Amino acid sequence: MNWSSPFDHRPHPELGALLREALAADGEPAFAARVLAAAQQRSAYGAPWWQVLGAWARPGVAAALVLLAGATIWLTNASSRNEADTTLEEVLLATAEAVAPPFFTATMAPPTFDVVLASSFEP
Amino acid sequence: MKEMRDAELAALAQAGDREAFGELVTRYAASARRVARAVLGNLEDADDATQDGFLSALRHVGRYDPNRPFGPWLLRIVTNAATDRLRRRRVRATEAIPPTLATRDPGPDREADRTALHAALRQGLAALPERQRVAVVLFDVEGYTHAEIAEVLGIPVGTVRSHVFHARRALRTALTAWKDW
Repeated sequence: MNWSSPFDHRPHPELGALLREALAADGEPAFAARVLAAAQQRSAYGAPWWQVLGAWARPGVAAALVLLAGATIWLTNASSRNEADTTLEEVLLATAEAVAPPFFTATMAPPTFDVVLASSFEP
Repeated sequence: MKEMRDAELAALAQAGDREAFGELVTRYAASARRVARAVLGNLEDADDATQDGFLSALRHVGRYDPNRPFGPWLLRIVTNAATDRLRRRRVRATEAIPPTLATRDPGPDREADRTALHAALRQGLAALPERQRVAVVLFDVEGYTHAEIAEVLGIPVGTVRSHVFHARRALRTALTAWKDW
């Protein structure tokens, strides 16, 4: 073999060819098949989208059901409260009509809510 | 697939395309196995390390920068896998070092002589420090530049030049008996 200087900054073709032969390994297609089989076995590939969606289906349905149940309860409560409950303002105004102090009726303008509220707290 | 660039194949492999990953394995299996064998010496261990390297590359292919060449990125992973395996092997058992390099034993024909030359070359390679082995194989066999090898090994370019120089000099000494080959 023709040894050029080890300082040579270019690849040494003869040494390279010899090393290539010395390190060569047979059965390249078989090796590639082995790597692909190992990748398949170890699930090294990213899962396809349908598998990702499938994995999330069960928890997704459960979360949707919980949300639906919560919304139903809230709506039911809200509608029953609308029917059964009266607001504080309505109660106070009704009371004020029954026992209206004179200054309420001394004017043509209706009293404001604050005035009604203050009068209702007076002894 | 065969006409596609490495970066395109890597992107497809990341998306789960097995054919694309298979094409990358086909393209780089030979060089990856040579580099792993240069590190480990033993062909079976080298194949195991190469496989580990390919699987690791597939798992982390999202980290590959498509603007850079794929080969050095992959070979860095394979080299690391081979180095890890070498360390584990050293922990398990002290490696039997051949007492002498293969000497030239004129065989019945030239083919036998060449087989002995290969054995001597592998032994000469095995006697080198690990990074020198990888550097000289990547430079003289695989044709990578000093800068690319520096990227593979994670060392400065000047150190790569030094490794190649020392490796060549040691191999020349190891193959003295074959100087007229």
